[in-house]
Formats: sequence, structure tokens, C-alpha cells
Amino acid sequence: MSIAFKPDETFRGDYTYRNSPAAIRRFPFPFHQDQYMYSVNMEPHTKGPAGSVFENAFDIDEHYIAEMRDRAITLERDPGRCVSLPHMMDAEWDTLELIMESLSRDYPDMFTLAKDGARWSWINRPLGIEQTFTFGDAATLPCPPFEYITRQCQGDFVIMDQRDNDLFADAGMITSQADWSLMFDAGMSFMEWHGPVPLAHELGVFERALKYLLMLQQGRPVRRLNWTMTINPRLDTSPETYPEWGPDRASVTPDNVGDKVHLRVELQALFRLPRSNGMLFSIRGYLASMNELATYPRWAKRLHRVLSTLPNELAEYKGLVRYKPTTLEWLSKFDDGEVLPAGTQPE
Amino acid sequence: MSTPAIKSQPVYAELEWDRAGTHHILFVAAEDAALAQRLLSNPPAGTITLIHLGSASAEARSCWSQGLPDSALYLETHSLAEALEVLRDALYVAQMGTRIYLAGPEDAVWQASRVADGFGVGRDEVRYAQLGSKARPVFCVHCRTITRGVHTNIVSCSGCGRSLFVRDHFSRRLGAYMGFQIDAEVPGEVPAAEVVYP
Repeated sequence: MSIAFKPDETFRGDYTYRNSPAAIRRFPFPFHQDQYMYSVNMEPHTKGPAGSVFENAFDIDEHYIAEMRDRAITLERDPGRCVSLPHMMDAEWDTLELIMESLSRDYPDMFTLAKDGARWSWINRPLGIEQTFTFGDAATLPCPPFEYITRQCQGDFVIMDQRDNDLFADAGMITSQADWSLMFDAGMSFMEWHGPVPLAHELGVFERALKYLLMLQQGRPVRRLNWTMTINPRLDTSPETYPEWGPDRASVTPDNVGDKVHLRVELQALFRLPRSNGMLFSIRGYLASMNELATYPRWAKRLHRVLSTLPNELAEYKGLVRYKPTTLEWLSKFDDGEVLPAGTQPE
Repeated sequence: MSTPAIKSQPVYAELEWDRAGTHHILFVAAEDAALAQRLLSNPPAGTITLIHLGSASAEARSCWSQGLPDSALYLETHSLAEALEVLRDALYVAQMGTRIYLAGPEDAVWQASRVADGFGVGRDEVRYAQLGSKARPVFCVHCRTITRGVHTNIVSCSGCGRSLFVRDHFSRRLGAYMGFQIDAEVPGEVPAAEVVYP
């Protein structure tokens, strides 16, 4: 196997999650310029450079096994993190098919899918799973198809149902979200779901995004990056557990910024689903501490400038207000004022 | 009509009959004499079922029971639970072409909306109006209890007791606004609650 997994790292409690130098190097740093504002920054989700997070449809990395264990812990504590409204069964199977076909094509040494008519055999070597089942017959799997496959794929997932010229968030597996609640938002239209996001509505971002997505074609997925910041390498920053992780935001000091404050980047991809005409929305998260990012001074400089010019509404919405000054102070020591050409590259 | 701070918050248009309908179910949970007069004096074609939620004590006749057109069936109820049951019965026998109008405080309106959803009613077949109290139903995102009749921006959750901030984010499926613990980051740091939903 080509990936050296770190199966024992944790995203809670003692927080032993760390990125290897190779993982830092491929981190999807999202800032092209010194300022950030919302835009409809979608591009075709085509095969990117070998080794990059854009290489494959669903990126599997060194944190795979540990992330899947963290998802299982969160689901054990709160099964409501996986929701699927009753009319979503076709879209569940669509999703299972898309993920199994993608993973077995892109990582043949780890995943194998064999089909004999509707009789499918699935092997997931990193997680030690072998399953034979009948495609379309949920009774032949240990749990519903959407839950089954998303317990085996990094990232959060929403399936949107398309009807009445709108997209409804009618199914989801959400265990590593940036403070939004699937239990609360399930069933919402595209505008309702994105209701709390500041400024972007006024810029017409969601209206344009929705128009664009309604026309999304099968086999032509699109992607964009989104970002926030998280204290400690914690995946479960849900509203549900806010009382558990909220106090961390008040725990940042000049001495611990480098370890505690993390940039959290979401590689979001959207796939049209063939049978249901639904849309799979994958939200693949990456966490890197300030110390890790600062191994590339270009990134530290860029982040310093983005944060210092970030509109207050965005800082509040992203929950950065309490620790932003301390973080800026820490980053400022890397920023010599050098003019940085556009681009997200580390060097 | 004010623009909501958050796009999920319902915006209520002036209530009008949908004259494309052939049967009309009007569910009202608050008094509004001017609206009642305007709607009932100019009824649409087709039949009307008017489900009225009155108070438990027998008071003066409701404005909704006066000046009823001959095509209207008036059903008086005395609790929200009873009104929702009657609505369920009305929807059970409803035909194609039925239009539904839900008017009252948001708690009653959106509980009624959930009943309609259960019958597969489309969003464009229902019209909503906010009448009476502006009190909010608040869904605790931590313990999932809905605290009803909330007039303040901060409220103690009736399920877990946490001090919840009442957000403008609204779920039609749950019929409630989102509440989250306001002092999660610094426990005990709870501002004084203010009455903002009279």
C-alpha cells in the first residue's frame, strides 16, 4: 500500500493528530491573494497532479483509518448525524456506487469492487471489510447504503434532492462539520440551508451557485475550496457538541497558538447522481496547525494578511473573534511584507 | 415586509386567496378582524373549510365566524392539538385542487405545515400568514427539545436548562428556530435576556 496510515491518532481527548511533512506539502491552502471574499469559485473536478488532493474523485490520505474511527465514535454518541429522508433511497444507492467505483478505480491496491450482475463484492483492505451484497437490496447490507459507504470514505457528505428548481439537503453524513447542524438543516432548500452565511447572499453568490448547480451534468463534477479555523485538531465541531469544544476558543494563548490553532480547509465537490438525479456534495476536510503551515513561510505570510483584512462579519460567523488577535500576533513574526505573487503554492 | 437577517427565516406575504384552487382549507389560530373581513367578504370559487383555534374559555364569537360565505364549513376547536387533528381529517379527504392557508402565531402555523407535509402537499399549495403573538418555538440543538412560546432573545431550555441564544435560523421541518448555548465558550457569561418577540 502506498499510504502510510496513522491509525492511532485522535481527534479528541489527547488530540494526537499531526500531519507528516508530505501531508503538509499537499495541504489545499485556499488563499490565492492577500484578501479573501466569497465568490462562486467553482471549477471542474478533474484529475489533478499526482499526489495532490485533487488527484482523485475522493481523496484518501494518511488520516483515513483514524478519521473513520472518529466518525464511528461520533455516530455511536449521536446516531442523528446520519439522516436520510425516506424518498432518498435511490440517491443512497447512487452514492454507494459512485464512491465504490471511484475508490476501487483510484486506489486499486486498497479497494476492490467486483460485480456479477446485481451481486457485488466489496473489499476495503485498510478497514478490513469484505462484503457481498445485492445492489438495490438494502437488506443485504449491515446498514443503509449511504451510511454503509460513508462510514468508509473520508469527508462529510450531503445528498441534495433536485425538485421545483431547487436543491434540498435531504440526506447527510455529517460528523466533521464547521458548526452546522444536519439535524436542524435536513430538508432545507439551498437558500435556507445557507441562510446563516453572512455577506454572500448580498453578493448574489448563492443565487449564481444554485443556477450553476441545477445544470450540473453527470460525469462532470465540480469543486471549490472553503475554509474556517478550528481550535485543536477536532473533527466534531458541531453545534450539537458546542458546549464541549466552545471553551477551547477561549484557551488560546501566545504560547500555544502554533499547536492549537488550525486552518481548516474543505475541498467541496459536487457530483450529479444518475438514477435519482440528485447531487452528492462531498465536504472533505483538512486540518493543519499554525506550526505546520508555517513550515512554509509563504503560507504564514499569506494567512497573516488574509486574517488581518477579513471582514468582521466573516470573522464572527467563522467564530474566530476570540483568538484572532493572538493568532495574528503570532503570524506577524513571519510576515516581512514581501510582495507575494498570486497563487496558493507553498514555495 | 422586513428582510430577514437569515434567509431561512420565513417571510410572510399578505394573505390572499389562491383563486386557482377548487377547495380551500383555512386554518386560523389568531384573531385578525380586518383580515377575516377582507378574506371572507370576497371568497373564491369552490368550498371553504375554516378550522378555527379559539380559546378554551367561551368568549365573544371569533371574527372568523362572522360574515361567512355559504360555501364555508366552520369548525371550532379549543386546543392546538384538536385543531391539528381536525386539519388532518380535512386533508385526509382533500382532493386535487385544494389550497391550504395557515394563519396564526408561527408555532401553530408550522405545526400545521408539518401536518400538511405529511400528506405530500407541495410548497406552492400552501400560503402562510403570521398573526397574533410573535413568540417563537426554539429547538435546542444540544438536547433537541423544543421550548415553545419564547418571547426573549435568550431562554432557558425546557429540556436541558442551558441558556440558549435564539437564532434567526429557522427549520420548516422542525417548525422551530435554532437555539444554542450562549455561554459555551465562557460558561456563566450570559447577557440579560430581552423581550424581542412580543
